[in-house]
Formats: sequence, structure tokens, C-alpha cells
Amino acid sequence: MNHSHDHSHHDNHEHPAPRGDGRPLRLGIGGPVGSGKTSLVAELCTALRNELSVAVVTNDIFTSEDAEALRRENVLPAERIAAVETGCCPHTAIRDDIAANLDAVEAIERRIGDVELTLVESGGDNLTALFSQGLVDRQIFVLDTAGGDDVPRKGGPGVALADLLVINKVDLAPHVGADVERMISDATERRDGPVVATSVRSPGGIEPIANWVRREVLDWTLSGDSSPGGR
Amino acid sequence: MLPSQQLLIVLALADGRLPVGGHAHSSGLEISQHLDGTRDAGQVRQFLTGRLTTTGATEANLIAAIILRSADGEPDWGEIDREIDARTPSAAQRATSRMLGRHWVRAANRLGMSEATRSLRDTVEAPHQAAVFAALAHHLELDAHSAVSIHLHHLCAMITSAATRLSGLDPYVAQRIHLDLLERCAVIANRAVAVGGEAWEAIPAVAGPAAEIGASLHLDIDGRLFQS
Repeated sequence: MNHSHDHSHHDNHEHPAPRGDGRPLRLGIGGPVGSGKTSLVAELCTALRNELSVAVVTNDIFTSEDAEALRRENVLPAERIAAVETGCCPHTAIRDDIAANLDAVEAIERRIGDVELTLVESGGDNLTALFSQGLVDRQIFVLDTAGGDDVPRKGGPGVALADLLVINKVDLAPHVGADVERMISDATERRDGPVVATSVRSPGGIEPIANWVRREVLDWTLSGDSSPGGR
Repeated sequence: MLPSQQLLIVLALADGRLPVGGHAHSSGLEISQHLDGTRDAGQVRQFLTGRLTTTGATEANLIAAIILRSADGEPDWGEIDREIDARTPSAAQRATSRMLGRHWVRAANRLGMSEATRSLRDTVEAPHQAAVFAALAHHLELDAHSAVSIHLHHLCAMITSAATRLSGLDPYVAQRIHLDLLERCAVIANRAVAVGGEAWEAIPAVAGPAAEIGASLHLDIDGRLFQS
């Protein structure tokens, strides 16, 4: 089951001159523990690696656990994946003190040279976590049906402000008694941006997210916007 | 500069919210916890005391020496880099110091103060934290006493804050430890400023072999939570 509730606001954008500095789009992936961030990153890499030059910085609370998972799955060459320790505070590392993440992002972009999309995967956190505008240009917030179908209603900065909200593991919804339609309508009420409900591990499940990312990368490349945090 | 301006600059530079990467560093506490079980208040106090009187004092001496050498224009940054290297025997600690230096450079640049470290960066590709911090403090017209005190404050905060996160140390107890060690910090700062103007060979470096060996083992911790 993949139904994309895509309230895209990108159709009316003007596209100024091409970007001068060529910095890649930096995309944050945040959300609670176990919602499927690493799976989403792995599937996204697999879907996009033949069309885009992708790099990944992971922030697992336990060093390099996620980076190792990504390397094991061979979703990208090992040199395109870096891990950052967050001093027990995953939200601090993506929001308040972004120095270590910026350092890793800049280093991997410089080392690879032709990166077009840099994914920054947050360590699993709570509903108040949000990526700093100084670290990423766009962000995806990932929830899942097994985490409780009242989570979108609770809201929080991630649910409200992420550029894309993903409700993951819809295939599990019947088994955990989650009402997906309610999750979607609650989420839609709390935000202006698009909501995608899917199961990223199911065949084709990553496609609505991959399509959104493709459009964002294209927009970014064409827009000439190099200021952190948006256009 | 208004009288309170100097104090406000000190407070801003000492603020833990300054995004210079410190929150992800335990200054050796994490590996010490693994090797020696440093967890309770007494152990954390001992650990911090040890850090202050060894590597902390050495860094304080370096910062004071750099600021005092900056009084008549840019100091010899190449020489300073070599002197810092020589006083940092652990390769892991040198790497951490250069990483934190990078974070301070980025912060200065993003705060519109790239001029503060330009000469240093022109001379040294990856400057040490002590050099970058001293250059920035000098740019902001702080004296050696203030700069060294801020550095020691950050070291105390880094370790006590890491202790609250790594072992659940009571935050009031953590602050108590910090406050109890302020007099020792002041003594270290005074000594640093007193010797800072001397020739390099007269500026002491205090070794901390346990911390130096620990730093080299930190990256081997399975499931480590801090960068150092």
C-alpha cells in the first residue's frame, strides 16, 4: 500500500540562475528510534545511486552502528559513508551544536568531489528533534505505524516543519492496530508540507520518497540557492 | 569598549551553547570509564583534577604564551604549531586538538570573524584548538587571564557535562565539583600568565600519561558515544 498525499508547493517556484558554488543538497533524515531511518536511507541510496552521486553521514547514538549497517548492505561504497559520535545527545548534534556534523559533511563532500546529494541521518530521537537550517537544506521526518498512531496528532517541530513527513511501515498497521488514515489526516492538519505513507522495505515502497528527493535535488541544482536553510 | 563589554565577551565565549563541537567530547572521561570505571562523584572529581593539572595546565600555558606573543602583531604561527605538537605527545590528542581547532575556525568564520584567524590559517593548514582560540580571544581584545580562564572553564564543563550523560552523575554534584575546582583553575591560569612571556623552552608542559594512553585507545571502544 503506497498512497502518497503529496501537497507539493513546488509547482509555482521560479527558478533563478544556476547555482554558482555547486554545493550538493544536504538532506536530513530524522525521527524516533526504530521508525526506519536507516532502512529509508539504505533504500534511498539503492534507488538513487545510479542517477546521483550520494554521500551519507550517520549519527547513530552508538558510533557507526548505522554506518556499519549501510556498509554491510553495500548500498554505497564504504568511502561514501561516514559516522559521527554525538556525545549521547543526537538532537544536540543536529540542532544546537552542529560542528561535528558540518565537519563530517564538508569532509566527505570535499573527499568525493562530485557529490550531488548528502544525506545526514540523525540518531533516533524524540518528537522535538529538528535539524538546524545551518546543517541541512531539507529534512525528512520519519514516523512509523508501530510507534503509535497518535504520534502525528502529538505533533512537534519535526512533524510540523519537516519538508517531507514519512509514515513508515504501513504494512504493519493491521498487526499493531494503527489507523493509517487517521495518522495521515492528523499529520496533514499539523503541517503545510507533503505526507507520504508507505513501507520503505516493501517492493517499490521507497519510490514516492525517491521521487520527492529527485525533485528537490533538481530544484536545488537549478535554483542557485546556496544559503543554508532554504530559498 | 564599555567596562561591561569585556565581561560580556568572556561570557559569550564561555557559553556552552557556542557551536564548537564540545558537546561530543568527554576529554578522556569515556575511555577512563571503560578502563578505570570512573563513574561516581569522587572519581569524576579526581579525573577532572588530573586533567586540569596536566593537559589542562599545558594548554593554559600555551594559550597564555600565544596571547602574550600577539601583543606586537602576529606571532610566529609555524613555531607555535610545533611547540603545541611537542607538548601534546599523544597522536590521538593532537588529532582531537586539530579537529576542535577546525570547529573554532568554522565558528569564527560563521560569526563574521574570519580575520581573527587568517594569518594563522595562512601559515598552518590544520591549526590546533589552543592556537585558534588564542587568536580569536586576542582579536576580541581579551587578555591572557581571561582567555586561559575561559579555556579551563570549557574543560571543566566538558568533563562534568559528559559525566552527567555517561553515568547519570547528579547535575548539582557535577556543578559542585566544577565550583570546588575554580580556585585550582585560577592558580593554573596565574601560573600560565606568569610564564607565558618567557622563551618557549621555559614554558612547562605537564605530562598526563594515563590520559595520553587513554586517548589512543578511545577509538577502539565498541559503541563509543563521544568523539574523544
